[in-house]
Amino acid sequence: MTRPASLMWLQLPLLATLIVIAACAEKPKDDIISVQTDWFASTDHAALYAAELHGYFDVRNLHVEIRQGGPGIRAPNDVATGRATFGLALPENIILAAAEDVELLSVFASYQESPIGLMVHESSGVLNIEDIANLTVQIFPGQVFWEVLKYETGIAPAEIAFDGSMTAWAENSDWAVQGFATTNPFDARKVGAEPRMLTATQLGFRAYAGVIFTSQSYAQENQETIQAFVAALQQGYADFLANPQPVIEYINSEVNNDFLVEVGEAAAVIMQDLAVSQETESLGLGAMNAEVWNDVATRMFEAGIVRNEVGASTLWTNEYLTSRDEQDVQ
Amino acid sequence: MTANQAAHTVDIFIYESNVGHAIEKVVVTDSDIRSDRIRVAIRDLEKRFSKDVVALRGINLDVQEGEFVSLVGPSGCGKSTLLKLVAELDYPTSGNVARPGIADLPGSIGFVFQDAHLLPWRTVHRNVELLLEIQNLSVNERHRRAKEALAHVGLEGFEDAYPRQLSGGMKMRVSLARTLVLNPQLFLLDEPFGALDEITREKLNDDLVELTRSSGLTTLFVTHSVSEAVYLSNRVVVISDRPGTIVDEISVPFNERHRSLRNTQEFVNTCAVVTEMLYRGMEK
Amino acid sequence: MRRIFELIGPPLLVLVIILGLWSLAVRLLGIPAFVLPSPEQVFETAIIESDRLMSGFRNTLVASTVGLLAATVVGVLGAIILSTSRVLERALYPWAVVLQTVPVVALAPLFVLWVGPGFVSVVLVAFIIALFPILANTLMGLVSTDPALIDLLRMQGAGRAAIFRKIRLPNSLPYFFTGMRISAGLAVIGTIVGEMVVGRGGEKAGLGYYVVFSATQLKTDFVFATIIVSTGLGIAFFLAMVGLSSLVMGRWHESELRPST
Ligand SMILES: Nc1ncnc2c1ncn2[C@@H]1O[C@H](COP(=O)(O)OP(=O)(O)OP(=O)(O)O)[C@@H](O)[C@H]1O
Ligand SMILES: [Mg+2]
Repeated sequence: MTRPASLMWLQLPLLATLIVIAACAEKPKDDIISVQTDWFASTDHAALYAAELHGYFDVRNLHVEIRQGGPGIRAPNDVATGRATFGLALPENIILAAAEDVELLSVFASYQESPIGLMVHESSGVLNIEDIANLTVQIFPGQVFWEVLKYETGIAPAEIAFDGSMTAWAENSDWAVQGFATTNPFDARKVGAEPRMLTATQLGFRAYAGVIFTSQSYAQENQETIQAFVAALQQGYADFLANPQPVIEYINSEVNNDFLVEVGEAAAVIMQDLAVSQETESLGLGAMNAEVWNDVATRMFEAGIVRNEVGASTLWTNEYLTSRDEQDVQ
Repeated sequence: MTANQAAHTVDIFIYESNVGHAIEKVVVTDSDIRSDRIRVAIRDLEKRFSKDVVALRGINLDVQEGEFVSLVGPSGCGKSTLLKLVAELDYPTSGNVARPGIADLPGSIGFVFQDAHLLPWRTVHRNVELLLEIQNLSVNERHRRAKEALAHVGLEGFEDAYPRQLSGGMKMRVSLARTLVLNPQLFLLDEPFGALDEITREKLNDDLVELTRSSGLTTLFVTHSVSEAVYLSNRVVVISDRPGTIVDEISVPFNERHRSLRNTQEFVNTCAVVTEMLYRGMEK
Repeated sequence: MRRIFELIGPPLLVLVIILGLWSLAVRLLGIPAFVLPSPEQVFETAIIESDRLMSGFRNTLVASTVGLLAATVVGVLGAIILSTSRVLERALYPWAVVLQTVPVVALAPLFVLWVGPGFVSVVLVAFIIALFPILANTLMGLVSTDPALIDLLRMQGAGRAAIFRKIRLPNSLPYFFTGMRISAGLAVIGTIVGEMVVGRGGEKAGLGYYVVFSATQLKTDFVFATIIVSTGLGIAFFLAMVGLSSLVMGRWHESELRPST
């Protein structure tokens, strides 16, 4: 009678062993630069795919391998354990990792304003975070911008875990669903809904997104590689923003067939606004500033999402960026 | 065999014992069978399960009141089938089984299977009560009869035990008690002791003789064991290989049953006669 | 008292040894906490997050219980209905098998559509996952009765109802409890999986929700704490079934209580 019970206890150490084994396996080869993204390939990773398509990695002698993410993939973990050289994630995750003593360094921000947010129905008339209090919110459990906003405004709407499908949301006009401004409204229109996208920034939480980072230890020893890598990203991203079509078609045909060209086209329009800011004008694409980083870190601490206050200053840098003026000189 | 042929003398067989003893003539005489005391009358019975499987063919057999008749035959010859037909658990393809003088009521026929088939979730006492519960007896009456039946099979003190706490022989006794408690008019047993060891089996044989003879219970008993058949019965009926037909039968000439009987020459010879019949039935 | 110790002593000892080795390994190998937190750290986090873990435990307990109860009622009734007729059994049982192979997690978004989000959907996932073992085992118990016993009762004029009551139903009990032991664990797993994909957040969040929640926030120690509490719930369910079956079946079927899976 006791046997199954005692066997169940074995599950945990077994799991732990597996994790350790997994952590030890799969180190990247020295000369290959691997980049782990956060989701299936889309224009949210345009800087990476544009550089790949246009050969900007190749000309710098960088052997880059871009790995698509997906559910359960957490790029900070992969970079921290050395399974990937670079990662792409939300800056909140860099702060969360820092709170767990994982030291990462962000070197490039794809979005000056995060396209992540909540999608509501146009008919709901919802405009701001207070209105959301009356809705049912379908969202990935633990999403930082949402936890911060809830904490700060004190709203407590009904919540359910997001399963990745918009079907239920489309059927319920009093629901809000987590989404990316770049792609999800387009999807929603296709299933006949009239969506209104409220980004985290519009709801009151501005953060960067699509942040590309590496580990502090890698950064210390590979300054030049990072310099070259970021330069390729900037060059690729600039090309994409100027002429998105080839990159969209490349992602669609070569990387992820499920990413439709029309979705990419819609996204590219929105990205023109989200990818640039005053900073990028002066410092170059991918730039960040201390104010935004510190704000995010402070608010996460105040909301109790991280237990120790994290100094954000060491988590990011603009030092590898090349401004447009400098590029022109070159 | 028909009713008016009932009184007859069985032929004299001469058998050469394989132990090399002197050959003795065994004269087997039938007790006087009277037609008004017939309790089971089987006529031209045939049972066929499919075109190829004919279990029984042309069976004619009478059993009279108080008689203990054994059916022996090779495995698969249709003994169980015959018993089921007598119990109306199955129906013949042709011919018929009549049970004159046996009330057509629940409880008038008792059936005991090869294995005890007890309910593991019931105590011994409650197992014995099982069939009484189907009849509308009062709780007290059920209780009294079950207790009595258990005493009859020598299981006093085990009323509250569960079947898994009993030996094979004890389980079989419970099974017997479960059927005896009905006070059946006709007792059908299908190899009830087949799975027991020799000693237990002989002990239960003595008990069964005691139980049936004391109450004059009409009994049809199926067995593989020639000596068991001879020891228990008034009459042994031998059935041939499939399709089962009656090869022959023999009336057993003993009055008293006692352990020492098995060692008498007469007993050995009677067994030899039955065995000879069995061989005949298998060579056909 | 001594018996209880003999029962839980050995697994407890194993637990202590494993926790010790785990703690030691984390220290000596310098495994970072986000990969594998030490047991002390997990314990500490469990204390810090005890409010959420407690309410998650409660919510998951309730959903698992309701899912298991629903599976029990439907499974037993279904088994009884199927046992009454060969034709019905032959027609419907294959569909029960098919139901078992449907990836219920993939259906969860549809449940949200049909019955709304949260509790009901989660319970539905638990229910469907837990249904089959109860149905299949109980059905097996109802039909795998000793034919000789049925003959015996028929001969005494017993009808279908009496045979069902006196033979089939009690005969199915150990089978039923075998099914229950399997389903109890499955109900907990189903609930947690359901909570992960369609579960309620906030006050109504269950343990599955917190598994995703803590993983999203890269809090490995919290993930571990949640998994431990979930495992505890699973064990509690299993033990409850063992207790219930020995309570109901008592002494007669002790041999049947050995788990068979
Ligand atoms: N329900 C059934 N359907 C088809 N065939 C059957 C059925 N019952 C019995 N038989 C066949 O009828 C024949 C006689 O079977 P039966 O059980 O009466 O033999 P038996 O003499 O009792 O054998 P044993 O001594 O081994 O118990 C066998 O060949 C058996 O295969
Ligand atoms: Mg037989």
